[in-house]
Amino acid sequence: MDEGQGHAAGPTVGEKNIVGRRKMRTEVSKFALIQATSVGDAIAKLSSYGVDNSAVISGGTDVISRNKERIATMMPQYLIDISGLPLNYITPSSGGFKIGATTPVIDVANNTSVPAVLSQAANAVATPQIQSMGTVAGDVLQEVWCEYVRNDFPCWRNGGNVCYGAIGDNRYYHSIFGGRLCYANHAGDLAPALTALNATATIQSQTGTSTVSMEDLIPGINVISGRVKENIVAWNEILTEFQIPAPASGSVSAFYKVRDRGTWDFALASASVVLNVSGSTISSARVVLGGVDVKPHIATSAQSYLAGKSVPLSEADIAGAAAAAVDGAQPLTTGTGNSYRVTIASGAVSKALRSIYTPNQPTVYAPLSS
Amino acid sequence: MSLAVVGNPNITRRDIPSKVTGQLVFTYDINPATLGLANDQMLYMGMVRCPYPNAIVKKIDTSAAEAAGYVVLTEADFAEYNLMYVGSGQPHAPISNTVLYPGQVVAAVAAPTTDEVEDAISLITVEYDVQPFVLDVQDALAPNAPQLFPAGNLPPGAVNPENGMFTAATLRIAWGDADSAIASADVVVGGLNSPIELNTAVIQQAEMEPWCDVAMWSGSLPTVPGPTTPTSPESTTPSAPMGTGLTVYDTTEAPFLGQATLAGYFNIPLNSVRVIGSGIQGVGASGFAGMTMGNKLGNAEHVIITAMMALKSGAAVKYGPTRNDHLAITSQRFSERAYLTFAATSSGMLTAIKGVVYENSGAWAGANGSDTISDILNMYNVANMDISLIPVNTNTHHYSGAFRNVGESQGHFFLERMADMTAQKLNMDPAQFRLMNLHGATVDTQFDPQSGYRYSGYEGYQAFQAAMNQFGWSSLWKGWGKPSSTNGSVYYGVGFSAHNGQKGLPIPGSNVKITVLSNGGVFINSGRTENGAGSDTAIPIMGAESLGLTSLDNFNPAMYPGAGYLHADTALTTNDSIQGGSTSTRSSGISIVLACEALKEQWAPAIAAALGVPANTTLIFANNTIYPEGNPSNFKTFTEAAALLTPANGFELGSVTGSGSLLFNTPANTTYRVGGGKFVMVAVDVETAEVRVISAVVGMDIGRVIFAKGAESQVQGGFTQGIGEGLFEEFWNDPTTGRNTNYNFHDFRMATQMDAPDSITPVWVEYVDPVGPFGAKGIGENCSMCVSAAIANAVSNALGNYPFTTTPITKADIVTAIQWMKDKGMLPAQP
Repeated sequence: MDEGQGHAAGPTVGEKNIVGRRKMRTEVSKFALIQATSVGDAIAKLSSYGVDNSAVISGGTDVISRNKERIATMMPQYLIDISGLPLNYITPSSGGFKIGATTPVIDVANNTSVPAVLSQAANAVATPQIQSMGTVAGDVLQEVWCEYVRNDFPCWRNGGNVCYGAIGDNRYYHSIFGGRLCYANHAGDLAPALTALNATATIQSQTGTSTVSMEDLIPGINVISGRVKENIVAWNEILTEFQIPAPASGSVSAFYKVRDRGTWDFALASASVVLNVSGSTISSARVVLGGVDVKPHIATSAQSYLAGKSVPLSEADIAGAAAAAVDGAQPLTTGTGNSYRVTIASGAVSKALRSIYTPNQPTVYAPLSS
Repeated sequence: MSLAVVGNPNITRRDIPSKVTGQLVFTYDINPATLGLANDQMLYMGMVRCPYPNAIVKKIDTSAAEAAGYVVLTEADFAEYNLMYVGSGQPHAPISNTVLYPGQVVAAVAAPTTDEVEDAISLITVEYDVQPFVLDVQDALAPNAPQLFPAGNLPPGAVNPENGMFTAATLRIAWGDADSAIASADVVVGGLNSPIELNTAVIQQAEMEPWCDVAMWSGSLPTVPGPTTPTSPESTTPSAPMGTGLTVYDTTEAPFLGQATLAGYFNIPLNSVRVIGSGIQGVGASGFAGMTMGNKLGNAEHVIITAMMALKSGAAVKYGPTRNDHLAITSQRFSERAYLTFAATSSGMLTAIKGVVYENSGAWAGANGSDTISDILNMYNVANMDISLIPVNTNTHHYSGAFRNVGESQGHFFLERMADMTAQKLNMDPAQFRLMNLHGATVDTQFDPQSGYRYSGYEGYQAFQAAMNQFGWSSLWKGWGKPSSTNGSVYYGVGFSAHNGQKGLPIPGSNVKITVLSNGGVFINSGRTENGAGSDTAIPIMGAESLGLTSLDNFNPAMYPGAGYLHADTALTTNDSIQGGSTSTRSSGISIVLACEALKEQWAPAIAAALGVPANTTLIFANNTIYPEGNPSNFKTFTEAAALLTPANGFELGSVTGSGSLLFNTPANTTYRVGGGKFVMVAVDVETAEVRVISAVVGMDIGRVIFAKGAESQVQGGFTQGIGEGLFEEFWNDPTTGRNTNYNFHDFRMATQMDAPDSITPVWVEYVDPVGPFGAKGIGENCSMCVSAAIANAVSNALGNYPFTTTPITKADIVTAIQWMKDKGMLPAQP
């Protein structure tokens, strides 16, 4: 985006108005970038411009992509910039952490104090360049990366009434745990990790502030403000902060992501695991899969399986948990089919669990730093 | 022969500084000021493209766009120009109301600013009659298949732009009696009624720098356009007067071919068209690693549209495609499907190859699969052959055109998977199987079995052996069904592909001039484009060596004002043919050696006089000096000799110039092939299906290394490109609508640096090829050729030799393989 060039797009709004010019190579279409002075101000502006015309921007790695792809329903004229608000922080809190919404992903990746599952997940997000620009809340709330949505097919998310992925090419971006209306996977690596950590999120709206669990934040496919989406944050609401509770004593965690190439790609499957260990016994476990469902998929069978097991985990127990993690899988059999990712999801759980007690396990790619 | 510059490992690329410092002028950099125009004298063009794979434009309403002042082109603007352009195969206008692939252009629009291009596009409404589509080659031949053309879905033959030769569409080549040999063979893989099916994908070169054109007309314009035949690209071209006719800046590897295409299309004299091949990035996935573009040969369609827009608007017109435009419109590597059978004796002697290859020509192409067939014919000594090629038009992609080793990656994949499966059935070391059967192992077998033409020179067998030994095959190969090693869930497999590719022929019509200035500087004039392959360095190396220089300093204008290299401008440079087909080293190399000899002939009398020897004395140019043969102590330095280039000595221009032209190929009845082998180790995680190439050794029958760093970069860049083909890359056509869904860099998945091996080691087999300059051959396209085959064999080995038959080998394929091997109890156990 070039700053300060050309004429304003749309009505003048009074604030600093930066106009994105379409360039032949970057393909960004026009929009007005409006700096918010506070969260309340951002919400007021969003409400003023309306659901079809406005969106929040901070790092911009997703919203600008949608703009460049010309997704008709996702090209708001007014982008309300919250990157200047004091929402960029990782702060210890009651034994846990608070992480501001606009904190760059790479800051989490480089933080050695947050639980390993979270920093490893941040390290696995896209590329270092995108980690530097993208924010924590942006990763959690980003639009799905379904090739049909991104190519403006008239699907549920684009105002139509069919999921092309369910009947077409669903190899990479569609659920193996069923769905409703839209079968596109929840995208992003941080939400499964935050879910495994029992994190909560604070959402500010016109009427006040609420704090919800990750499960309630991303319940799966629902309709918000007339839009099919997987999270509950409306267009004129701002997710301001994540709270990560203090880990239980003896808690250990790990993340593993399988993607097509060694970088950049979304997860074919990821596994976020947290084991709460008393002595040499797992008292409770959290196992959450990413990239395989319309929401972070909580693998309850694996959690139950792991409870009571001794650590370090035996290979048999790792295999048992990995198998249990995909209980209830309903891979798509229409179109191309995507059952292979059931195997990959199971493998990701094995890798994550094994890495906790065997940090130097052999891998195809160099291990992600944490 | 003692060589100072040729093969010198310390020579660095000449073109890199201007690229990394932003000094090189790319076509995207051409703006009104560059051309001496006011801002309002240039328009910017965009394309209206149809998303459907097969449709008829029922109605196109351009009135709103035209009322707003934009200039629009539709099919009607091309009605009087109804002819095919070079390489397109199926005749059609550059903008057509008959849509045959997803993303086809149905209108173009030009606006005064880039901002307004999209507004202009949005004002054009198109009503389509969407037709049934066909994506599969065999479906396209079914009785009730949608017919792309009135004559059906079998395309006509086509002219190969690399050698100008017409290639028939459907081919069948046979010798011996393959059926009987298969019926009586000890070992058969496939069978007369059950051949092995193998498939490859449609892929894109996906260069970082899309092409771009700027076109402007001036002087007398064409008035009565009409059908004509494109002028031969080999024609020697008088310089076009600057500022008259059509001038085009183009990211092209073939400016003179482009000139001929445009002159032919607009029916104007050749010298009324000036094509300037502005800078080409030459940067691939692995950085400055010698990855060339390939498909910038095949870009005539959008150049014609840009020129037509300039003609209609009366303004200069610039077209820089969006990434989506670029991936859709340019040429692609075609997919192929093969049904093959191999037969062998129990001792491992290959006795028969039989099969058919279906080539997916895309929507508008003619035949391109002859390279595939040529490889199948040349790789192995086999007494009984029966192979057919059937090109088929489908709605998957634009057209199958110029591409790095356009049909040879596919051919090598088919051959080398079949060869491995045959060796496995024989329970024979696959390397030994190759050594027993490779064609061209001895001089008396170094010929093309189809034409009977002899190879120019060939040590492909030795290059295969050298790579095998360097890789350590005998210790890494543990036998069929056994990975090379395992570590937990990570299985390491080894594999290779033998290699025998038809690239690197010298192209008649390559012309080069070289000039020595009185200050000692040297200047080259060559119409060749530097597209990342390193010719900007390799050609001066051969010039320097011929002139007895020990470095490339004399080409450096900072050290010798006036020195340098003038590229790719049909008005100012020689026609140095095309930058494609791995032909540059041989073609321009032969020409520059001849040019240097012509130069020396003119210069020698003055030097002889200064040395006090008779004018007809043989002079030796070596070590930056010139001396009479046999008397090196009586010398002039190169600089001293250059100072003789004065009017007083008869050099009116203060310089001396030699011209060299490769007029025709000798010896007659010769074919040009490069051989060797690529050996790889891969790691496959049997829990997650993750896969990566760990190391590679590339043996290459190179003849002579000219530009050492460049050759190494070619191997590394080409190999990395091949990884994408082997593991990731494919166009996604939605099965329900036929629309493409990955005309972008995220989902069209090239290998990244993270996917590159820890090491890619070239192994050169050097000797004197009798045709190449200094004995050199052209290796460029051979570097990516057969990488996908080697990877497939190695991944197969890692998993206990699962019979993979497709590229790319996706994660889904690997999961299927693991499960299949487990079910059969054949997956080697984890330690």
